[in-house]
Amino acid sequence: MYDFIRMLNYLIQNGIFIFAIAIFFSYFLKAVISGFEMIRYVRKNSFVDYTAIISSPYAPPVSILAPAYNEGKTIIENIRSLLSIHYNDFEVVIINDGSKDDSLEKIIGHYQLEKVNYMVNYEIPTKPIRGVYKSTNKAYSKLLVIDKENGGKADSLNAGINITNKKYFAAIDVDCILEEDALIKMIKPILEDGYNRVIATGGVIRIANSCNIKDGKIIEVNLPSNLLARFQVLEYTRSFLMGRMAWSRLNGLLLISGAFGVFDREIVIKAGGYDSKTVGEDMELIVRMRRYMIENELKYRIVYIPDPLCWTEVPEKLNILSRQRNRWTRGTMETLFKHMTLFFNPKYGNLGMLGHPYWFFFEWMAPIVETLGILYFVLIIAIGNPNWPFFSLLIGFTYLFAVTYSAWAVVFEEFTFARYRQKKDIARLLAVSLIEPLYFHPLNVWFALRGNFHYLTGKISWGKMDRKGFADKKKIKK
Amino acid sequence: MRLSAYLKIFILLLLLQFLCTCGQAPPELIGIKKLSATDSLISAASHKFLPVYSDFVGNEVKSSFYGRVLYYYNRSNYLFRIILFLNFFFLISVLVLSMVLLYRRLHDGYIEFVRNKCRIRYRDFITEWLYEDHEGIVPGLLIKELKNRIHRDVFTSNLLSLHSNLTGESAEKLVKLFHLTRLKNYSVQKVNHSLWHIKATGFRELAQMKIEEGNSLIYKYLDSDNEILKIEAQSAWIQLNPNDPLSFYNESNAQFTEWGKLNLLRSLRKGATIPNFGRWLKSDSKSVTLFALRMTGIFKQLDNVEMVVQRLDDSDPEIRYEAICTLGKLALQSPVSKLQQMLSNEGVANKIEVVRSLILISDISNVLFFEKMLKSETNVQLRILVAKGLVLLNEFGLERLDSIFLGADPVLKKIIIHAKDDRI
Repeated sequence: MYDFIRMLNYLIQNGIFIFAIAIFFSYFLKAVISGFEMIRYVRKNSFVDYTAIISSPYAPPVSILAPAYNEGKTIIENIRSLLSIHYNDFEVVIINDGSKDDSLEKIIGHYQLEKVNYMVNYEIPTKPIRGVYKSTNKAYSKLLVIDKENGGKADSLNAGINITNKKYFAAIDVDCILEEDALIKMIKPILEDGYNRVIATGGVIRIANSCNIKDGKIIEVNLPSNLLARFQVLEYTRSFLMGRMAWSRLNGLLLISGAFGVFDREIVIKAGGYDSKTVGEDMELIVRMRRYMIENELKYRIVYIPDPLCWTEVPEKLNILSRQRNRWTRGTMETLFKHMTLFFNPKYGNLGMLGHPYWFFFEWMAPIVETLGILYFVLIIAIGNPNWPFFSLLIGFTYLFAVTYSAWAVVFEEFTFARYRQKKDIARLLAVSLIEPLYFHPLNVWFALRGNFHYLTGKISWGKMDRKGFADKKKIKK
Repeated sequence: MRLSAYLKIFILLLLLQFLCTCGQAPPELIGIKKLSATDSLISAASHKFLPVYSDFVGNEVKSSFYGRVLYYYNRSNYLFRIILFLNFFFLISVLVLSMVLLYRRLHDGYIEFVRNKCRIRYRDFITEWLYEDHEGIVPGLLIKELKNRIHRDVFTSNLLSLHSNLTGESAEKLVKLFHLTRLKNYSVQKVNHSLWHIKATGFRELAQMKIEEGNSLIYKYLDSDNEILKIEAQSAWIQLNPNDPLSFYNESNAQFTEWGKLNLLRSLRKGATIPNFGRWLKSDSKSVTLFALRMTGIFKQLDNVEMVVQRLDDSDPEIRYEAICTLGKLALQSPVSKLQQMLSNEGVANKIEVVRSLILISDISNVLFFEKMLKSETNVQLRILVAKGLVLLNEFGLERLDSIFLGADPVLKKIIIHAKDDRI
């Protein structure tokens, strides 16, 4: 019996040992690959005159799809911001997802809209479209508004895909602020690859809390004054600059943020459009598109670019953050389990052998294993005679590794785009990296655990995401 | 990032510890005799991979915390030492990175200060050079200053920026200044540099200053494996050889990306003589053919229409697609019947483009053809486009559409209503 316990212990521990080693190296490798990619990207783009795209017949037409639900407070300003994007052939499609507030009335009034006789081709099934609106004012000729029955973000995007006939579409959150050259920069990778079809492009999402915004444009970048938002600045910087660049290099990206991404419309339709039954529709679509390309033996790439192109407001309150993280966890689980056929399936190449397993083990399982590790530590304290000097070293090691990793993220940011120009900002970011492991990370683990619990108990809600809105913030500033 | 690395490392080490103590599990857990303090010390850390449990049991052995650290350091295997080392390593890393960030900010500030100072001074000098007669003599002090990279970069950038906005005698004066200040030598050095991004900067400088010597240096990069270098070399070549800008196309079998073609077109539009693209319409390289087709349409080279029509029979659907687009842009009546004939054998994308081109050509024979398509086609997007084509043709087309509407099914009626709405 004793030998059996020893053997069982040994096997379990070896498994977990390999797991942990893999996590460690994955972070290290991602950081190294991202570093090289960033250097290459910055050098490469120092030769690019992006204005060449604007007037070129080679620039493909793009449709910006922005679903809106109860966004009445900020919708007018948000649309104005989208209409001022620098691109030649584009249209802005706002999809009013059965808002209960006065969003539609406001848009109709402000942008002088009238209903047009649009023949909707439901290539992807969606909730019924009640009407399509165009402006009578030529200045807003690029604006198209769809009014439909409520069906969620994914359903709204599908409706937008049905309506538009442009070759590419950009899916964005209507409350995001896009840089003026966002589309140009996102389209460039599509033009660059002559050997593979680039079916989607993703960009960096930056945090707009506390930034100075005028007429729907970021005019001054500031570090958020709220501590929770500041933690998220560090978290986003690590994730986007030190993680996704590497996945892009390996053609293993499994996620393009729902806040801003450009997609090949034809492939999206062939893959079946967004899944309106999941809360992680952005990730699920990417996985399905990739599956479609592989199953049809088509060469493809999904590219990520590190330029800060899209600015969004992040939660400043714990309960809202909790709901957001909870939804992210459920979305991840839904996608991973829905596509379990990919798991270590060599037929799917990097997607099956690298991307899916990575997300399965290191994104979904990691908080669970981490919790088990903490429980084990508590168990040792409770029943054993813990070696405190050794544990102190371990705790110090993990803490310092975390701080170093975050410091590298700040270095990446500073040596590439350096958007935080105030001298104090860098010091503040470094200071935040000292506190984050002790406060923000444990919270995230807890939220992820709750997400797991809610997934298992069948909770399917999106989770209300209250935002202050940029328009309101401007007034406060004044 | 839902799980930061540091806690993962923590788990790793906990697990390492757990793994390596499996042979020495807590006696309470496995029900064996509890070890005495002496036994524990005998089984000291040196035998363990991970010293999870303390060797100091009860009150029998008393020692300070630091004493214990030293004890484990001396007695344990390498893991304890490695972790200790890594702790110091990360601590120093954080400090070094903080210093790097601080230095970067200070250094950037200083460089910006120097650049601004130089920018104003050199701008004044160059402006003065343009409007006053210096008899071809450049101050020796300036030559000396330009040996410094920051000074040279600022001066070159000022010079090139001003040159791009000037023509004629003024531009020539700046080229002369470029030579006199020996910047040409530095540009050649850049072209010969091992780093591609420095090479590319050299290409740009030589091309803008029309240094013919650059041709031989740039030539070998026209088909470079490095896409950016290739694009820069081709753009520079076009600038240096405006009378035969695409001569390299004759020899090249390489593939050109859309980005490369976009840049070529941009360079061509900057004052080069536009060649007759008929030369490349039958090129062996697919991308060269595609580019030639596109350019034929953009520059309205009507003489090439027959060759473009021949490309409609190409086995490659992409070439057929581009040929269809080109014929639409040329808007000549002659290929209408050929376009109508080919439609039935094409995929949806090419069909849509055929209809678009036919709309652009706007031939009366399209009315019956569109009417037939409207009734027989199943693709909604195509049907909408065809109906739109009828609306755009002329009054006759509109009359036909009204006539079709009377006997149409609900879907077709919606399509016609959509097509007739000129707000869409």
